[in-house]
Amino acid sequence: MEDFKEYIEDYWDGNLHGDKLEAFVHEMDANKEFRELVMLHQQVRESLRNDLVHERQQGDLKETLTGLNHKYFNPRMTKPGKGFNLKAFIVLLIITLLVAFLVYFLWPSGASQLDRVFDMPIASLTLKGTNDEGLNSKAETAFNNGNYEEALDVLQELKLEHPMDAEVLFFEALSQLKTGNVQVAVDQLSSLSAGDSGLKYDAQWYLVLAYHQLGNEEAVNETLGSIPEDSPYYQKAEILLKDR
Amino acid sequence: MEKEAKKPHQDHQYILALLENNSSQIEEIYKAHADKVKNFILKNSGTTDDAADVFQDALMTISRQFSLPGKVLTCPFGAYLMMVVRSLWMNELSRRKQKRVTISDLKGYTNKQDQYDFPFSEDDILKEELFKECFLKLGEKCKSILEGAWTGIPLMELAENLDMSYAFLRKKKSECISKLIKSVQESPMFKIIKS
Repeated sequence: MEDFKEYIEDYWDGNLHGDKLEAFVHEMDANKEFRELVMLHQQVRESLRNDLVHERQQGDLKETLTGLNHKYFNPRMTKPGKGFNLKAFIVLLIITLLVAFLVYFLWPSGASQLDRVFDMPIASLTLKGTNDEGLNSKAETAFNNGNYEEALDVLQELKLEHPMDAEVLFFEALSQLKTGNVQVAVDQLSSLSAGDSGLKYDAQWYLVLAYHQLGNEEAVNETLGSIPEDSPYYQKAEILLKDR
Repeated sequence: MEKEAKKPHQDHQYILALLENNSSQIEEIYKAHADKVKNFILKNSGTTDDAADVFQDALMTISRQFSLPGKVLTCPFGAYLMMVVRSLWMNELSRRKQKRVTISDLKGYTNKQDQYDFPFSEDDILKEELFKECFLKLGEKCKSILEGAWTGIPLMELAENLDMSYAFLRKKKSECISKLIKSVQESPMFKIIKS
């Protein structure tokens, strides 16, 4: 079923022909689960397509309804009501800031300290033989500016051409981490840290952060404890381990 | 599920009013139903602002549903409007309370689903809402790709607009759809609707 999933969109776009189409239809007939998936795919597509197309045409209607809403529901006062107390608000704001300050600087657990220890590295790709040199700098700029979603797209495009390049894989893993795909990042960093590239220690270090974000503190301790003395992160790891 | 089109109810005029943005007839809808919707929302943990939002969303939903070719209203407009309002509000309450709210949890509503032939069911509406929510959770890039592809922009042109190669756009589009479908399938609401 895994192989056929790739063709669902082509099937509904009418871009599946010949043997592939025949095999696809056969799979639908034979596999109820797959048939349901194909139908769900179409439902989602059609519903959202209708939504998106219609949304563009509904601007005038929305304006009419907003006007009538004001007349018949009188919603949302924009000014603060009579009960708004500026003094209480300021006191509350000061207390909030004070608590935030104390939590940030005095919190004793290793976990928050751990979050602060990890800065993202500066991306500097040294890829050779890339067809589009602009992609390198585009990936670097996006990553270094914190646009991790964009960086991820460009790095994945670079990966098509350089599937084994450690730099691409490393920064892709970090971009995955920063865009919330933590398990993917863990898998990629684990694989890199087990390899022989010049980034294996970096990968091992950021694997600690990935495990932490996954909530697997046992793996955090284990990974910190396995950082070898010749790693540039050894001392940092020792300090973190002492505090945990 | 969608039902076959039958003879239109006389209230189909309100559907046409929405589709044609006829403000005087739309105002008649407000005059006839706004208070009823407000009372229903206020009785069920909502505010006047919520009532206004739900009323507007319900009319937008109805307008979108009937923009599909061949769709006609075969029941009183008010009964259908209240069914849509109830579905949207149940969905919103479920989201706020992080647990499924059902019709039996609601006050001040008489279920007329068996009495009338509604053109779209509550499940249809909940599914549409779920698909929209899952779509909005996608990353900006995915949203741009799918929106472009689904609103008829040729993929070559879309690839150029988004500054990516055609091959990569196709790959990314497929990934984005998989992500969207997975998010729908994993949603607790989907499991409830399915069951």
